[in-house]
This record gives sequence, structure tokens and C-alpha cells, in this order.
Amino acid sequence: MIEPSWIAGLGAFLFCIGLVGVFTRKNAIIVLMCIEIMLNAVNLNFVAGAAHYENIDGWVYTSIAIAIAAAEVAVGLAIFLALYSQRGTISLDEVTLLKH
Amino acid sequence: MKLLSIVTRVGLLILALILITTVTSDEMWESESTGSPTTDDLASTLLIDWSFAFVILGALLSMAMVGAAYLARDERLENLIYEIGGEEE
Repeated sequence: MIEPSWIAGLGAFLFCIGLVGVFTRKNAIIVLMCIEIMLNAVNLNFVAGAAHYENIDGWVYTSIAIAIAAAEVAVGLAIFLALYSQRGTISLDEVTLLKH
Repeated sequence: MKLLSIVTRVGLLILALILITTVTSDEMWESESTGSPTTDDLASTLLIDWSFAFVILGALLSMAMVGAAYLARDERLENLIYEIGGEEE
């Protein structure tokens, strides 16, 4: 069995990858994917803690976080779709105003 | 601007190293693992202890899907004409 500390380390590594992507990329969809990577990294840490302490709450938190992430992605993609149809771009450098 | 970008990347790399080192070497991992919960435990916890949160989560997902569908609706003229049964000229 894989040690939970290794799983937590993998979670930290994935979180850093997502953080770098959020800070450095300009495409909105890639930024959204990096946010998802960060969310899943936190989920990995929850699962590692739950497996280590035999506490089911970590799994429940993970289930809730996955559902909230799905809702976030649905709304985010819809916003980007509306943004593209109005402005013709989803580059985060071009989108600086929250109005037409 | 280029310097700021390089400083940011180096800072993120240092943060990554600190984060991974701190997480993997924490003293909580030194105690013996007690095993793993089963899916039966997960089901009973979700549907009994967390039932209210489970229902709220379903409502949240429903609202998000309706909102996403509303935001992504197609407003192109030819499709609006098609939906009301007319012919495009």
C-alpha cells in the first residue's frame, strides 16, 4: 500500500502545478483547468488523511468538493462561452471589464 | 516586466519545495495507519449524517446547471427563427 505521506506529497506537487498555471497562463480555459488541478490536489490530501486516520469525513469532504467543482466548471465554461460570443476572445489579458 | 515574471516563477518554485517538504515530513504521518474506511461507511455517512448537506448540494448543482444553460443559450438569429418554426429568408 502506498504511504499516505506520499499521496499528500503528490497532492502538494499537483497544487503547485496548478498554482503555476493560474499565475502564468493567459487562456481562461487553461486557468480553469489549473484551478481544477488545485481542487483535486486538495482532495488527494483529504483522502490521504482519511485513509491514515480511518476517518470517513475526509471522503465526505472530497465528495462535496468534487460536486462543487463540477458546478464551478459548468458555470465557468458557460461564462467563457458567453464571453467569446460577445468579444471574440477568452484571453484574460483582453477581458478587463465586467460589463459590455 | 520580464524580471517580475522570473521572480514570480522562482518564488513559486521555492513555495513548491517548501510545501512538498512540509507536507511529506509532517509528524502526523509517523503514527501507525489504522486502516481504511469502507464504501459502506461512506454511503451511510453521506446519507445519514450528512443528508442535509447532500440535499443542499443537489440543489446547488441543479441551480448551477440551469444557470449554465441560460448563460450558454444560443441567440443567433437563424437558430431563433428555426426554433419558432419559421423559414430563414
